[in-house]
Amino acid sequence: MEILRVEGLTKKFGDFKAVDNVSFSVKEYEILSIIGPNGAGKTTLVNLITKKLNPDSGRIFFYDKDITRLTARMINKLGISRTFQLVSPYRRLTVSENILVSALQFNTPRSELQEIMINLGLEKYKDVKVQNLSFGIQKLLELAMVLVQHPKLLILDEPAAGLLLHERRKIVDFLKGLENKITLIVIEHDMGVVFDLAKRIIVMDKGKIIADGPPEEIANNKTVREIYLGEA
Amino acid sequence: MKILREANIMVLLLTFFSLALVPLTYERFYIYLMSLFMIYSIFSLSYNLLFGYAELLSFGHALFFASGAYTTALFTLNIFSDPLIGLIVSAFSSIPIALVVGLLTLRHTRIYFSILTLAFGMLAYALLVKWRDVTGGSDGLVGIPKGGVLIDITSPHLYYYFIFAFYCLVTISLYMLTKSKWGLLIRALGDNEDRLPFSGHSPMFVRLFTFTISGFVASISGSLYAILMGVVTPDIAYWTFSAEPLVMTLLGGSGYYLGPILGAFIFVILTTALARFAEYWQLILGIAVIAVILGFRGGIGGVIESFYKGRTRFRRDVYGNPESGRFN
Repeated sequence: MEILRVEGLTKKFGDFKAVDNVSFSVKEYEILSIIGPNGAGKTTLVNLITKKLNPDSGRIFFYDKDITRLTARMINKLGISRTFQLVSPYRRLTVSENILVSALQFNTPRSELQEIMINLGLEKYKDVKVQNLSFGIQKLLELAMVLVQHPKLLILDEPAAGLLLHERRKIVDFLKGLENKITLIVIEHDMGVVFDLAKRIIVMDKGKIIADGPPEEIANNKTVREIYLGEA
Repeated sequence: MKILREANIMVLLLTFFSLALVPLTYERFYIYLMSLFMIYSIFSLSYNLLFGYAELLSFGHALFFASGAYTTALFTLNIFSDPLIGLIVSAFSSIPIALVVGLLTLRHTRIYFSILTLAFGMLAYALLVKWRDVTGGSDGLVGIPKGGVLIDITSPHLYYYFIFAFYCLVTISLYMLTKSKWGLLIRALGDNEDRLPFSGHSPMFVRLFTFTISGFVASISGSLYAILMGVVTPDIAYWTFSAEPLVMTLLGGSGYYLGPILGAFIFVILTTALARFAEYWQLILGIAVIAVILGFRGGIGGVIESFYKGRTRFRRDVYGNPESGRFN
């Protein structure tokens, strides 16, 4: 069953087309990774889907419902949650308060919030203000903040960026555990993470999709190797 | 954090206890001074909800103070001569005003919001000056009754305890609000407004809620002021009056629940008590505000917290000091 369908999505900043007529769809419980060099338009695409930005043209469907005109909050409440490339928690609130703010609208039981904190190793930081935490812990908190919303579609913008090796391993293992429970779209630069996690990869360059397929196919795609991996 | 939270409650209880004893001095000046302190505390607490918690800098908060004062005056003089009913009516009549002003100003943020609130405040001031038939113009309204059909608070002692009851009610209610899920949302709004929609909340709704509660409480302080003074003039709607709760909040510390109360105490002492002895009391107030802005951003509350932190340094752990920061 199709959970997300994007049709001809375009976003311009002045004359620059950050996202250029992008169309794709995602099946329920699929783990899709979107990769591409810096400035390829990956984050802009996520910002358009989650309505952090408004598209200039194109349409977005969630379970066949047109959500193009909905606000970010409505989309979030429908079941699309996202994390941010640059972590964006409530820095002056504690870890448990951050999780609680994210869960309030979703009636998530307190016991479940506790469970997610334990699973992500955040329990010991629960009363610590986020501004006093390391970047890696803040990344884990970002993940906890979206998981408590019971999303149907979870979009992770560079979840492993800036993390130490053991933190990266922890996040990948955790995300693997979500297979067949949540549909995942993962934007990532780390190819180890991408090939470890994704069942399908979309490659973007200059705002367009240049390849779409399973990891093995993408790894052998000549255009991708030329543009993305810099091979002649 | 728990210790600081308990300290907040302890200090609140201590102020209740101390204030309850003031009328026993039988000194009318102290009774008046502390009445004014309680009214300004309520006013600045309402302002801090907006400024300290939601980080919305309003230059038009006097609008709600004046709305409370004038509604009480008009109601008790023309419709029903009872201060309590006048106060209740004026508090609730501030809600539609806050909703309308809020809807028109809160779509804008930062300086645009501040300037719009200033404009609405000055609009109210102009209305109070020009609509002479109703508001008495620049002469204001006089003879606001303390004695009424339901309650009679004509003696200073009774009136003092009337204000004291509202002071306790407001400080406790606002404290409970800040510790509730709504308080958490207001703090989240002030902290990272852009994130709120991705947490399933509408920033506009949280802003409007905060603005309305803040206006409601400010109008209670305006109403108490009108009954205390027995007279209201348009000065209380002028933009300089909007700056007073800001000054009180900055003096006490906008990041602390008790900050505005502390600021109101300093403000009342400086403006009322010192004015009796020092000709240039405004100079002293100005120096105090400059010192706070330049040297003690956390206000007196921040200084107290630094002192507390200095004494409990051994508690710090590898994550820094979890007890530091705002809104403990």
